[in-house]
Amino acid sequence: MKRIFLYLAITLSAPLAGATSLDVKTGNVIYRYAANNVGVVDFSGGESLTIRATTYKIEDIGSIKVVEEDIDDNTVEVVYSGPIATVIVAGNLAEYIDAEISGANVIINQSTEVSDNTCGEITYILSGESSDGSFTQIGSYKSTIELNGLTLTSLSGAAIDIQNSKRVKLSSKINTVNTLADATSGSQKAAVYCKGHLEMQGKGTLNVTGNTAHAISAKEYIEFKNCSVNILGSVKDGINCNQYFTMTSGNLVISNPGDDGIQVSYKDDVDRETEDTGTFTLEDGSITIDKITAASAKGIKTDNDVIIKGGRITASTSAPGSWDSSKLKTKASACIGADGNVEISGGSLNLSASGGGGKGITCDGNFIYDQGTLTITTSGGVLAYVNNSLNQNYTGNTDRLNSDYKSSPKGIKADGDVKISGGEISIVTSGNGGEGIESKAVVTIDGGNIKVRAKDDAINSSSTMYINDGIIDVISTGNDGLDSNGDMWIAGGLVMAFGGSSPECGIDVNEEERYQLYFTGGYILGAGGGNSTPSDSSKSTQAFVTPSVSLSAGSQVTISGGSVDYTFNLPSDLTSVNLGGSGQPGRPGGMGSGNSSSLLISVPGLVSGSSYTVKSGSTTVSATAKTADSSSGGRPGGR
Amino acid sequence: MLFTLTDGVQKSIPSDNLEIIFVDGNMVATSGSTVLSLPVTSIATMELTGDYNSNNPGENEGNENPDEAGIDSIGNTGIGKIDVISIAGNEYGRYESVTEAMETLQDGIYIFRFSDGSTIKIVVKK
Repeated sequence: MKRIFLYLAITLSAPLAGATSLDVKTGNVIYRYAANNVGVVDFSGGESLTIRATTYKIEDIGSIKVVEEDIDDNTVEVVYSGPIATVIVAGNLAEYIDAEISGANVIINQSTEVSDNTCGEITYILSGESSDGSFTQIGSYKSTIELNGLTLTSLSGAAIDIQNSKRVKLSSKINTVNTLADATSGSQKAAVYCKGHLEMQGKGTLNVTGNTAHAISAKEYIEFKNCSVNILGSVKDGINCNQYFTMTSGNLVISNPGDDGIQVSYKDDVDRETEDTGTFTLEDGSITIDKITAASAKGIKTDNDVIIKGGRITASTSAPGSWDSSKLKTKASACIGADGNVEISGGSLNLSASGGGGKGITCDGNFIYDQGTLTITTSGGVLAYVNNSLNQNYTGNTDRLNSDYKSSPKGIKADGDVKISGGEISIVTSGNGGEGIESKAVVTIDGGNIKVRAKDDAINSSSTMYINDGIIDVISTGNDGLDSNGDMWIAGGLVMAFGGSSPECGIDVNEEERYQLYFTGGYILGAGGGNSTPSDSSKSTQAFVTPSVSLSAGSQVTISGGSVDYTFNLPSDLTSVNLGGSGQPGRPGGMGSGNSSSLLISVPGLVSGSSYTVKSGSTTVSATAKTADSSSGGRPGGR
Repeated sequence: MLFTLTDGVQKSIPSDNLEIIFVDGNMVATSGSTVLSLPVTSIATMELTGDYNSNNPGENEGNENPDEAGIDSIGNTGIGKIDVISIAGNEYGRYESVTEAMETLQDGIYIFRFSDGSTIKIVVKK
């Protein structure tokens, strides 16, 4: 019998001992006061009662209960359950929170009096499930929204609409999965929209689908930390924000964006705040963007810089190019597209583009690469607008096409300078016209391990090219290995540049416009249909040889004599076009005729006028070193 | 919960499981089997008393030992007959007291419905 009463006692006593709150229920809103903080409740003429600073009309009160549940101060809980939602407001917030509930659509008006001088920051905790619900928060002071196992689909507007222009933390709580989707029509900008700064955090998972526009959008910046966010699809951008986007950790996956994966814009083009940088920054964490299919869409698109200090980006686009009939120019897709600079000082990037003119990285400013691992593949062809028709893989002659009417696939394209000083870069462009790295200004390589396999130029500069250090292993099957349309200075590093069959070159300098090639250091081997050669011995101080010897893929070429004894290990993936498919007589540095590649070698220690032995495979030839070649200049230039 | 009326008279009702509703101009407070009904216009203030309110420390309506209080109050409730229902909703019968019911019932979980309409969930394990 004693045991019977023991169980009975436990059952009955729990609510007695645990009762800690007084709930005032009005509609589906419960104002929950800590029992020891209720104080004296004043009734006023039978019309209303006042608890602390909040007055309730009697007619609005559904019930008042003493309950065992409690709630932290400064907290508002929103619990969705199918067609209804219940809002529980901590008693200390009652005077600052006005909740409107229609079914499972909740609108919270946070008083403008909320500040550090009153109640301070409010935390909203959302949980439960509704297939016809939403959460709107209106306010003017920073707040936190915690997702604690929430599945919410709105049938009118955004799933979460934060009309608060201050900092808002959106936190997915640890060990929870939260899934949000907006209505399939309407004027909402996103499934999750924030009028202010959005700080996404927490160690839980958030899945978002943008059924009408973006999946996640903020009028100001977005900072991303810890959380795992999956954008399952969007009609427009996966993530769209202004000011800046910064990710310091976590995992972001964007799939099926209807436009760009992440777009960062300036908030204000005229009166810009300091933080309005239009910049994307990745410090750590992982970003995956795939299934980009919208015409000329970008994986990451910014009004200003893309800065990558660490972390990992995997992006792939199959989006075709497009024709902008208002600006009269072609637009191609890219994994990363910046209107400013792209600066990479760490991390790992794996990018692929397959559409017409598709690029790995494109920027209007400089491309600066210091550290990290960068892998890019492109497989699309030349995008061209010809005869009022957009061609995704144009194979005709584009030399006479206005540059706005064509866009070639490229691994990296910078309208400004390209500066590489370290790290690993591997680029393959297999489509028609695909260039590896192109700068519309100056290319400077001070280090790094650069490997390019390109259909068109492997590395191209519109102006001067400087190679001071690093390992440069570049092969073009249809154009030049290194192509400078200004001077080219090679002062150090290991350079092996292979071009296509004549008239393409391993190393090509725009000599017809009187630009020159200078060797002042480095281990250099150029091969292809031809090579430019230094012609000014007053500046080009390291001698070179142009031996007549056949090459083969994966073989060794050794130059020896005097103090020189150096062996080049040729790439194993050289093709016949790199090895002299159709040599031309009289080419600078060339073989003279036949099916041999033009070969140019320069290493430290060569003495002009001295003879050296060059061995390629089983063939050994002799070559005389020189610092200038008066016959240089016979190769048509071009980009 | 202590109610002070406009005429200075005080009325109280235990706060445990207290529920207050407003019906036809009346405040109806229910705590277990106790019901307190007052015209709203007659109420000046109400206040959680005892341990619930740090502003008004004093004796609680309940006993100091709530566990024992639960046993005693139920065992000697005098609140009339008890209908016992399974959690599936099946009627098990009517008993004179909790003690009688629990001595009769087999191990299991039951809903006890008192004559005032209040219910509790009971675990019987002998």
